[in-house]
Amino acid sequence: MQNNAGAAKEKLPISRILSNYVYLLKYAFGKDAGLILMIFFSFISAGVGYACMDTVFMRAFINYLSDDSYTFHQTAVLVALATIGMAFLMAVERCTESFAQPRIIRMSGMMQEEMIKKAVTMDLVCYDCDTYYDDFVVAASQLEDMVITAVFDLARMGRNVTTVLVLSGLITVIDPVIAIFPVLGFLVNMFSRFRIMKLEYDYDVEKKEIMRRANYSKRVFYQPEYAKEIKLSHIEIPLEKQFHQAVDETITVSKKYGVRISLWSLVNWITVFTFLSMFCVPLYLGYMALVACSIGLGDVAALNKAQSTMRNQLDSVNYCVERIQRAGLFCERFRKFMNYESKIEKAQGTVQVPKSQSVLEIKDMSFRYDGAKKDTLKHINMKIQAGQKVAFVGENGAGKSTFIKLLMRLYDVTEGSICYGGHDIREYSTEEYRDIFGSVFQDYQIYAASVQENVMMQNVAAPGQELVEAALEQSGFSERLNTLPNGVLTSLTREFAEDGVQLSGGEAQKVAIARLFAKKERMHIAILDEPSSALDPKAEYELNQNILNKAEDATVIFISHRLSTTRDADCIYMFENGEIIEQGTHQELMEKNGQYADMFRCQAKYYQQNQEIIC
Amino acid sequence: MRKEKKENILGSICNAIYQIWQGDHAIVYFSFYKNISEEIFSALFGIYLIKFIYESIEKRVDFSKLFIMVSIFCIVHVIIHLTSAFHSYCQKIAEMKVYRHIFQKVIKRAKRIKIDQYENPDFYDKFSRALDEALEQGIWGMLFTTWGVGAIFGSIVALVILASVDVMLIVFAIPPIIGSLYFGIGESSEQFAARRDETVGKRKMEYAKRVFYEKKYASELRLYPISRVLFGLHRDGYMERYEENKTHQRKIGIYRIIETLLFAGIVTLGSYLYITYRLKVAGSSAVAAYIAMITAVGYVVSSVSEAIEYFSRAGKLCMYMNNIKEFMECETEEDIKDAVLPSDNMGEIVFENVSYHYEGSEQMIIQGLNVKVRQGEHIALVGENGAGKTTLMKLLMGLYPVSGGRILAGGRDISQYEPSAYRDCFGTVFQDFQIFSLPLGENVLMKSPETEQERQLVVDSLKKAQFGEVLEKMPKGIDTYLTKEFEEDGFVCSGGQAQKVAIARVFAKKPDVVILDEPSSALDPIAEYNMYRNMMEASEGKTVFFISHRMSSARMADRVLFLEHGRIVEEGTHEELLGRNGRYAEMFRLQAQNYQDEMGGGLYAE
Repeated sequence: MQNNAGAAKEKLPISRILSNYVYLLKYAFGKDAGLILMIFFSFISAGVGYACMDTVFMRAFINYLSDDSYTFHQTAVLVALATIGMAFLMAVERCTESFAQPRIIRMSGMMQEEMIKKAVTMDLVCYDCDTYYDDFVVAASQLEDMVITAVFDLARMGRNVTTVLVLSGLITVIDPVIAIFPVLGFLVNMFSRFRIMKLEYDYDVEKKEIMRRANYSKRVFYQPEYAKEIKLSHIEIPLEKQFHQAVDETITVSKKYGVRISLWSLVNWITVFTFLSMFCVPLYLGYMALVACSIGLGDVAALNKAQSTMRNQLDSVNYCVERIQRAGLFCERFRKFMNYESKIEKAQGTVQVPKSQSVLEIKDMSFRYDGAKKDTLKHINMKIQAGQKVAFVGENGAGKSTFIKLLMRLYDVTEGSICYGGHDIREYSTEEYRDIFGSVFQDYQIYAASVQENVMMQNVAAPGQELVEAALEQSGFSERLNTLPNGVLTSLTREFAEDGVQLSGGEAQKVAIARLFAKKERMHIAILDEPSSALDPKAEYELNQNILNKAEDATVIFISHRLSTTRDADCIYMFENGEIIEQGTHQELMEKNGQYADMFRCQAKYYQQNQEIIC
Repeated sequence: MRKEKKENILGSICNAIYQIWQGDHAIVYFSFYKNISEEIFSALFGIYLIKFIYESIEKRVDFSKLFIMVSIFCIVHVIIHLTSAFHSYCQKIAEMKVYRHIFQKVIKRAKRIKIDQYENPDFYDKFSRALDEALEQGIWGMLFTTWGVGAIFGSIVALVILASVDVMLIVFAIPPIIGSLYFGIGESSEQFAARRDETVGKRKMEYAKRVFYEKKYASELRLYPISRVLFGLHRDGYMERYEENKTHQRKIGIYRIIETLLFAGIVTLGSYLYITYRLKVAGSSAVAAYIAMITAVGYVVSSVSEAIEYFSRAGKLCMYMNNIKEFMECETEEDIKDAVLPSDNMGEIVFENVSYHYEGSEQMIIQGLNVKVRQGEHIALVGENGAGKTTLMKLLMGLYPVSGGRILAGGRDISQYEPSAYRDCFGTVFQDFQIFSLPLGENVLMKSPETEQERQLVVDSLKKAQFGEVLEKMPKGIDTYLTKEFEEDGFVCSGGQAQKVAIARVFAKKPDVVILDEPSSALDPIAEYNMYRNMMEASEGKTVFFISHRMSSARMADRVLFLEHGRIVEEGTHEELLGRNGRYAEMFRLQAQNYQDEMGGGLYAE
């Protein structure tokens, strides 16, 4: 992920990591308990079975072979019993994996579904917060892996522990001293791995931070939006420079960490593998058998196996602990996300939303984004009568778009209030309140769904078609609709459908605008945030006509750059730096001869000089 | 079918190793050496040394002999560790070297890939996500390959030791090896198929999730009930994956059972019984050697199935590198023989019966268009959305090849020019211009400003583009980093400011031909007016094409071309066209209507 720098700051207490881990397991358990129990059962029984096969059986087998009093038949029966038992356990274990995989996909799918359902109830403010993206994206993209880790690694650990217990029993019976080597190895391994992990983690963080520049440079070269500029300019030269610098820096860092990681690995390997396991164990066993003469060949083979299995199992514990720790860390995000309590989205309200168009009144309202140094909107007062057509004009960044988001309660005001039908909008249920709005934003989106779903914005039963077609006609999309292979059922975007239709900017906008017309019945207030910017003049004219004709008694709020579009509004509000600096009808504002008049004249300039020619 | 897939895996492994080899020869050789030597050693240790120890005990040899042998093995083991440690150090550095190598190949290619390839909707999918992971996965793919080769060497060593004790024992190893080969390959191709069949479901899930985390969708999701449609899509996605996976896993489960039975039945049961027979009935007394060999048979079988597992993982990982190969094989602009460099002055531009349609599409975007543009003429392109204005400009810059007719610049067909030099003659601002995460100076000059003159040029250009005021407030001036991608204190342009930077590029480039594709849409009216005035002043004597929705700006042109369905339907000066009272006049009037006080009866009154 790109934003891994953030992960570096994360330091959670062990107790929290554990409780997160338990949370994740419980969550998974709630989704498919049978699966989890099955994995545990098969892992643990197989582990114990293998351990017995390698040690108890092996010892018995060698003793049977060395001792002439056992016949061929007796030995063969022993072999057959052990082999069949082991084959059964192996088969169960391996099939569990096959059985578990699809179930895990389904389980994690269900969990992810709950996540996205939760996402819609997050307040919009969360999206402005840098960590939101991190929390959600990382949590959602790694959920499947993490669920697998959580379940399987715990099962593995269960297996490790039971196996070690079984082996300890055996070792105690024959020669407890041999247990020193794997346990010592385990401790050294744990310590050095801990160091290595920390080094690797630091290395990773440092490397990723530097490599972000390099990755950026690379990304530019295959992203379609950059393709033209790449061909038409020599921007690749500075990008390449940036890339090489980043790679050089990374190599320096790699060298620094590489030496340290390699040295710790050597310490680990040489003590654990070479010295303890390869040197001490055979010599100790050899000594006991040859010099002390206290154990026989069967014991040597069994102990040798037992200690190596024990060491492997203990190593695997280390490995599982690492992974469980990661899952616990990861789960912090998931848990934080799932436990988020929204202030706006889930609000139930105490008052019924008025059934008919009402007055929208803004009283001394200010708004500031979280963490911002100054207010985006300052002391706004405004009263919009039912059915009024108003326009918000002003330069980019003047606060118009933020203002309409406040009107729809996508954000809550910082000071003052917004009232609809005499009640503060915070007294209404958010869902019901928003339903009175029809809106088209500057950055309207088209979804990978059918045309009719894109218009109705919900799953539509077949009889809805007429409404959809009518709405599309009003937004001027009919002509294009007739060329679509499956009419309103045509899939948009090529995300999934090979034959999906890619709409041009202007066409997409018409589809977005049709959403308003489709909602006409329920809509009290229509909000249009520069909906005509991608349209040509003719389309713009027709659109405006339509909106005003169809919206008859609905309140309409326009935001526009083109003052020609807004001049006949009942009231025009001019925004500058978060304040309303002028307001009134076009006539009044022109007479006032202020900022609005300046802006209007500037735009009108060319048209007006040609008046004689036109008329 | 199966054969094809195998070749595919093998092919991608070879490709990945070749690419890595090109970036850094040494790491490839070293990886093979390290992993093969490690595996051979582990076979010797696991079988030969164990046999030696058991036999020593059985024959009650002197302890010192055992001590010497074990010590020799340990010394060799330490040497192997040293090699491994050095390898892991080298690998970190090699990764960077290979990355650099691949990057250089990618950008060299990207410059030449045909632009319509980029417009292919799969392109981004295929390359962006895949290329990001390609390298890391590719290196792991190579390592897995070397492990696989190592495992094969290891099993050969084990077989040799096995044969030295009792040739018959090899018999027990062979059927499971064949079984592993057959079922192991079957299993991995089934796994491969499972992953392949999952992609559609995965894409649905990914898409749904993306909609929920990207900010641009956030408002709409809260204002419309569209989320329900997306929940459905998400559920379809994972249920499809569940069903697909279940079918494949069922087969895999069967393969695994057969494999297990083969292993348990033949290797374990068979070899144990054989050994029992040899010792109890045939009268052999080499208990120690036979016991050690039980491990050996298991070792051979597990090495072989490990090798298969490694190769199949290597194949999967190396697949990522195929994306790089495919990128390298993307259709590029053809090399032009005897390419000509454009002269200092582009001169007259002539479109002769030019037609264009997208590859694979019947719909003509430009049809039989003829027009002659004098040097220094200022041309406005006007028309409805989709009339072909932007496409016409892309054809002129040679970003697409014409489908019919030809374009002449300076009396020569533009396809004869050396593409990069030809494109240097143009200064363009597109609707969807991009801001790069680089310093402001680089963003304007589109290369690093080196001399004082160049730096001054950047400042002047920015001033002309109305960016002067903002620039003065920047403490680091033109060295200010744009975007917050890498610098905490990076400067984030508003839409209007970004556009000014893009416009400054044209001022800085001083091109022969200026193309402005709706450059002013994000500017407020005053800024727009000033920008156009500056642009026109700076472009005295230069050919200018501009596309604008605001027809008011068309007045500034020497000539207006009105496009409809890829044809020029009206042309002339603004006044002429208004006088003609045709399509242009109609459109102009619609737009002008509300700016004229006398006309009355605006939109709202109707």
